[in-house]
Amino acid sequence: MPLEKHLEKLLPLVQKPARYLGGEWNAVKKDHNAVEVRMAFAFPDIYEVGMSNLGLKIIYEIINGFPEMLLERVFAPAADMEKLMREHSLPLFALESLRPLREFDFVGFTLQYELSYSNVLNMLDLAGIPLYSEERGAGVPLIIGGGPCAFNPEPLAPFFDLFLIGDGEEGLPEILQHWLALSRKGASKEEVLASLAAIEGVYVPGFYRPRYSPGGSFLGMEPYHPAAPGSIRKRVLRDLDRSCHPLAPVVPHVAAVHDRGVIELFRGCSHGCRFCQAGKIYRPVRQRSPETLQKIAREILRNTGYDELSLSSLSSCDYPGIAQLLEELNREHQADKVRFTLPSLRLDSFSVGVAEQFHQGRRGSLTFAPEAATERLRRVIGKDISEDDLFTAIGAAVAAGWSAFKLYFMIGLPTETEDDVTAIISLCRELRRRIRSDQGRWINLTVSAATFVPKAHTPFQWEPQLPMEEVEHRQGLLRQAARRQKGLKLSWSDPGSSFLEAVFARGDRRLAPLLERAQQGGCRFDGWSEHFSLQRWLDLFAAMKIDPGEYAYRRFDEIEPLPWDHLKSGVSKKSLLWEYHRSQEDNHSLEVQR
Amino acid sequence: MNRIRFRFSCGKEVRYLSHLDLLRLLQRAMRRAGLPLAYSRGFSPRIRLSLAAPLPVGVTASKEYGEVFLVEPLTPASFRRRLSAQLPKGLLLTGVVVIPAGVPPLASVVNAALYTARWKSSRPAPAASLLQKALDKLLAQPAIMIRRFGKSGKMSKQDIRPYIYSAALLPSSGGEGLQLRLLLQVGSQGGLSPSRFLEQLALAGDYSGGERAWRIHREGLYIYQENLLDPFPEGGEVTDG
Repeated sequence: MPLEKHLEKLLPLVQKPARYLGGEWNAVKKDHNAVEVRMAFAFPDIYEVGMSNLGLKIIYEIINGFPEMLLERVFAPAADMEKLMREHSLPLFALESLRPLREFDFVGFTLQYELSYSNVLNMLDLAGIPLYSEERGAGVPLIIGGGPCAFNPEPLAPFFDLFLIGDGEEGLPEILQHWLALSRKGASKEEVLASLAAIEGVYVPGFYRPRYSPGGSFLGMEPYHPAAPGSIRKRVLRDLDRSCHPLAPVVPHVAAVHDRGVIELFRGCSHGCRFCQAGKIYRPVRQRSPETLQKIAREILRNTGYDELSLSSLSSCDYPGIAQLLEELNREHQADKVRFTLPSLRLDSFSVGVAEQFHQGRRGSLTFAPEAATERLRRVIGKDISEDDLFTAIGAAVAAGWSAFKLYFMIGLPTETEDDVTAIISLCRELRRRIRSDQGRWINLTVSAATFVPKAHTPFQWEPQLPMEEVEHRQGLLRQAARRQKGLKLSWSDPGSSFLEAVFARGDRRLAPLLERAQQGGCRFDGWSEHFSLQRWLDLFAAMKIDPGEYAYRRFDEIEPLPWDHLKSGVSKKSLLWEYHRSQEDNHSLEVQR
Repeated sequence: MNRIRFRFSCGKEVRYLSHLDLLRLLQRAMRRAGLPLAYSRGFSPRIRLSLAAPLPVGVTASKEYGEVFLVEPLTPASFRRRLSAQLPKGLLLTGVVVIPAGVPPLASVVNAALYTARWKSSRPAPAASLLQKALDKLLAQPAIMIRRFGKSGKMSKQDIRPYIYSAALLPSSGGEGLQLRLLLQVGSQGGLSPSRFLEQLALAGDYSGGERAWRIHREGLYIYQENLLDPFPEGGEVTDG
């Protein structure tokens, strides 16, 4: 195979060549000629990041479970590899078969993060696949998108043939089976898309036209194809407990960012944090039973050999009986020295019971997300925890042996004042002092201050983002307050990349040509600070005569149509608006109290 | 405590794994195999697995060695059967032996590695005579100083001549092309990677084509005192493949 020969020459020249070779344990290599549907799952970031993604593991096992289908992986090549691939005209290929993406029937991108959009286009370009859907005819793979950003995919709309909004477990196989039946009949691309548009959760962007006012305001999305439904309801997997959980995930050769097994306790979140998109789009809460989870854990550990298993969900401590589950798991796998870990925790449900179940994971730090440092601001954003919750949770963890904690906060939240920002540091100081006086130990805190990004389908979707200069100013206040504070480390996000994230999170189709130019202009890996250049993007906006502030900094009018109104997350615009108003009332009543 | 020494080969499928990648891969394979593994004590217990000498990235190998401690005795045949079933394509277990207590760990005694390097670049290889001259010139030097980055990141100069036990040009046989055979020091007393050697050779011969022009294969690891000793003890219970 010529591609393989080429690779043999190029791989010795790049960093971590094993990223591009596949062949890992549990990788599924099927004969392309023995199946009827060939799909490449494209993750628009490097191998180590993509291999940590739970969605990939789920889809990989489900699709490869069908004898007539295959699904292979492809990741964004790092800069050094891309350069060589372009120099040698090597097309982007999938890891299992080393076949070019062009030879697949589907290429499916998972859209996890707005700043990966330039990578999506770059991967298409590297694959030699025309960027625009309308330029792709027969014999070119259908490009499909999914993941959280598919809930407002408009900036990417013209590049995709279809999106699957919501859970992929049942929707994706249905799409592929449908396609197979149609392609056997020799259906045209339009016939295929028209038929797929009837599947629940499928959005065919080419069947809709946005309307704008002469002044440039978005007036709404208009279906113009007879097969296009007026709105698209997200796909919901009803029974998570009985659905497929990956049991034999690929064990990466190059250490992944999260190099461990993962079991998904439940999907969805019952809390109503008003900034949180995941909390809305993954609704309703669906759980797996403890018995199912123990079986899954057993299987994964046996099939992978991992010594660490993460109990994942949006808020794992909310799992009913989490302490008991941990206890059972610890008991069963103690002899094999398996460590169980929880991702970011909620302060109000973290208990002594849970803390005591981590006998082995104690070396690391625990992560909590108070998000805001004052009672008022937490009320405004709907984060229903109190200061006492924070002291109690950390106190329990310290008593159980931890001494290092990571705390997530946000800067630029609606109604935030400078006092709210500096309160982050006074809260941390108070926390350290309390623990010291109660338990005689100083703890170490790492404070991470992200910038608030208004997201579609949340009660804050109408809110403007705080201007970059002001974000920088508040970050400065935070740094100043944290100066000479012992046991406190501070990190913050780059205001420029949060700004760009906000632009695309609330963007519309008019941003698509800009993305195309960005790809041509060399934008890649915008989520990586070493690759991101705000100036390059600002120049692009200027050249295309687009005001990015219209998307990021404007308070959207409550009555104006939004670019994602036709995509239904299950939470109505009306109830989002009600929540939005309530946050304002909460603020008002709290201010009156003061 | 039961100690098992095993021998394995690394094919092209796994040649780009780093030493740590390979260690992790073997540990996971051993856990999947359900071997009665012994763990280190402490907060983060680790499998007591060690490899004789790190294999440079990009290099394939015929005879690599590792050692692992078990809490229960296991016959070499059973160890081999169970672990083999869990190894990915490219890794092949070729021998297993039980090591009596008191034998020093492999990594502390293995000090020599035998490599062959074949010209693979599409550029024409330097003439055999030129290469021979370069070899003679290089080996005749009493000291070969190279720059090296130390652990602290500081650059230092180092003489690598003592790490070259032997280096020879093999007579080309039936379409095999140019081949070098290198016996280089490895291990805790210092060592030299084959790519570093090939770099120096290219400098000495003033031809272009350093390490990347060659395909390197590690034939074996040895304990080199007066003779080359195989790390598999004689009389041990060996299952060979």
